[in-house]
Amino acid sequence: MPDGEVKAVQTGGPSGGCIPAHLLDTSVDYESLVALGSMMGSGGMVVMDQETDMVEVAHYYMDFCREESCGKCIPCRAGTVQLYEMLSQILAGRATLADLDRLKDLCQFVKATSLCGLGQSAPNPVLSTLTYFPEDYARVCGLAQDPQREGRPAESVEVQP
Amino acid sequence: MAVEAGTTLLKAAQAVGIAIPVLCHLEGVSDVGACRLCLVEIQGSSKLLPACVTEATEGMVIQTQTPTLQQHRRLIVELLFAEGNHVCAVCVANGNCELQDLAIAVGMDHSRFPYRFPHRAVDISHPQFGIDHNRCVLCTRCVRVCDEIEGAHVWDVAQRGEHTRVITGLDQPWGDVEACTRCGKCVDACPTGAIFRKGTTVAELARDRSRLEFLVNAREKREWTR
Ligand code: SF4
Ligand code: SF4
Ligand code: FES
Repeated sequence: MPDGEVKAVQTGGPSGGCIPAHLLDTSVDYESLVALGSMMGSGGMVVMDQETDMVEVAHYYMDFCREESCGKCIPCRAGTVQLYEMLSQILAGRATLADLDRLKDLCQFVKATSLCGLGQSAPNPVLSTLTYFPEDYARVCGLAQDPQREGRPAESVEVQP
Repeated sequence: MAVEAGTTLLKAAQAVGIAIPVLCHLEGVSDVGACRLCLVEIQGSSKLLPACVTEATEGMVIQTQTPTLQQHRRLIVELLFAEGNHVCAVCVANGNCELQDLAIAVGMDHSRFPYRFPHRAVDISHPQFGIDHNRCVLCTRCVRVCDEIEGAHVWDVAQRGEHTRVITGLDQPWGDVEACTRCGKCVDACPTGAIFRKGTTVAELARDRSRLEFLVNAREKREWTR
């Protein structure tokens, strides 16, 4: 690592998730990775340092999924596009904590209703980063310094992967 | 309840008067399970399954209206409205549109998603009909009805993701496609105002679904009289 500590390890490609440094002792097998909201995929891994913004990572993968969606079913075709737009708004600093709830709801909808594995797994990078790195989302939402803005602290964002 | 082997959950539910919302399903042509509106909950399964393509099996317990399913259905309709350009006030199908009916059925009074306002084309090269892609929900009913009932296979699906669209011939102007018999079955099948008869003005489009049903019934049951 050029810049010190490891922040996260991404496994499973655009369908997988980001595993935080404190869980690095997890063994690399199918069940353990799925239990953490990621997956094995092709077995490839991307190791990220502390400079990495996890919202940018999620945005990057959603860009890929929205391009790769075959367009047959509505949740994946239109849902990945709206997820990408929401992440763009968050990155641009135009989102609030309430938008994070909408982001999470849409992720769970796309996962539960898409026809094939692409849509069913496309929200994984968002859900896993929301779970393990909520502070990255809170920061770009401009709320880290002002936790009262939405009437509740940033730490109360709960995500079920 | 007892149903014949091979009956879909959608048909079984219809038989006992339970309505499940559908969009890509059209009586008489094959099902594709694409719109996901007919998803139902099945006891003992963690996955939601589309009623239009799932066969009933012994002892199956299904739920067709749960708060989760209702939320999912509303989101699907919201996504559709945000994805295309649905300006009902100037649409030929206003008042006679399955997308409007769905919005009412699922209680969607506005879309929480920003409208995408995509740039989409209108093709009026055909002497009798036109297609306005702004109103297309990509249900592929036109593709299936033209292929399976008329046997002309004029329609196909091109590209992918948000760029997906239906095409005529080899992505030619519809009017140039010689395979089209001008039967009008795609007009009758389309759930929205995307495919229309030329000369139809706002809220004027009337479709004759009974014509499709008559043909299918005639072929399957050999009943040739109306
Ligand atoms: S008018 Fe008939 S033949 Fe022509 S595209 Fe429509 S369904 Fe096919
Ligand atoms: S043109 Fe009409 S029938 Fe064909 S895919 Fe679009 S909405 Fe469906
Ligand atoms: S009607 Fe079953 S998925 Fe569209």
